[in-house]
Amino acid sequence: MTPSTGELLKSYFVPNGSYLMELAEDGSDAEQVKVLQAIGKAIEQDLKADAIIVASPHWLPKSAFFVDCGSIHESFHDYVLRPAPFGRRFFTHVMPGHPELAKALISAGQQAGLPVKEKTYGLDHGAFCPLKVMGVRIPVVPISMSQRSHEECVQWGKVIRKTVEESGLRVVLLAPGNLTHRLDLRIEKAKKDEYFGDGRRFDREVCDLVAAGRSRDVDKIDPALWAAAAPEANLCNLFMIAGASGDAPGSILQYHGAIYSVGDVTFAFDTVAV
Amino acid sequence: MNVTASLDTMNPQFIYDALRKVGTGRATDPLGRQWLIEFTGRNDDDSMQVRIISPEDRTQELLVTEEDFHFSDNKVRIKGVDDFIGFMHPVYLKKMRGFTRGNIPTPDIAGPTLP
Repeated sequence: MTPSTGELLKSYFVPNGSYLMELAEDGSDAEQVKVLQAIGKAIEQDLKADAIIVASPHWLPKSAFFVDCGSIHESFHDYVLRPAPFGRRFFTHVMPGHPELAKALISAGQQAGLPVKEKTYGLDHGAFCPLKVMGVRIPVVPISMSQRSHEECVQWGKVIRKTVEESGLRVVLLAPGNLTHRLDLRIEKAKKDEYFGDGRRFDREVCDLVAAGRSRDVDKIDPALWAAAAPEANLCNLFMIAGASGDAPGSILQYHGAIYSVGDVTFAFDTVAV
Repeated sequence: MNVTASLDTMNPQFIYDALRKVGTGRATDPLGRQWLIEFTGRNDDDSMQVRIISPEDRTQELLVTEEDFHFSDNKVRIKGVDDFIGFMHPVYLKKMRGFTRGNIPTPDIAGPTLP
């Protein structure tokens, strides 16, 4: 019998704000929540994925890309709790791991000459918030986003894809993050469409580039505008997806300029031939 | 003395200040005294600069790695600070453990840039 070929089914860039768990818990029909829930349903029921690789934008070591090889992943709390201003409720989450896929990623990354290492970490809210709202229960492999160069993130994305394709598994890559991410300017009760100008401009430029299959060209956005927007994880997540997806264009599933200064967008990427 | 953990979210025992780029843990020793553990910098090799302030205001600056921290469910010890045993609520203890392993939390004090 010929072993089945693995496939990177889809990649997603999704919001990860802890407020999403509150909205979901309250049964909100907010677009960000509905889209995440629809993605979760698609991953399990339509794509029939075996595993999810999730790269948290809050796991930002410097020395390497890290992979958690655990068979169980428990969440830990890493956001502000109520009743502090902008505090959120306390949530937890536990998911099964996929040690074989995790170890294959480390081996392949090291063979490609990238700094890839094992570390026990668990799930911070950058990973468990979207997974919890999605409602998925399949195994996950947490990987760090890391403070590495955009070019290295692209190469790491290519290694992830190759590893998946050689694994015989059907896998989804989830790389959460926000576009504009100026938490110092946030307004909890911002009116609809109330959003600061540089953030709006930056988000629009990124969305246009991603939709055109030019995610890597976000590097060419005016540095002053980039600094004003301060995107989460320096948008390393988009570069990782670009490497993994073969520079596929991203479909914008929803966009919401939230709390005055945070760009909540959801992109879905097919995997294209390279 | 038994140090009983209670989750007091009005007085978080680990916070991240994105203006100063500093994480601060607040632990209680077996005598009920407070210690501060300030993470003041992360180096390219993921070693960290840590400032430990004892109940007597004695300050100790250390270069540490995550392996130098020994976490149990309720307390933490740090290699090189032999007289320190710090109790924290498990929620904040895990938050601090995550920080030693590369987590950058949502900031308690927001700044114009991250991390």
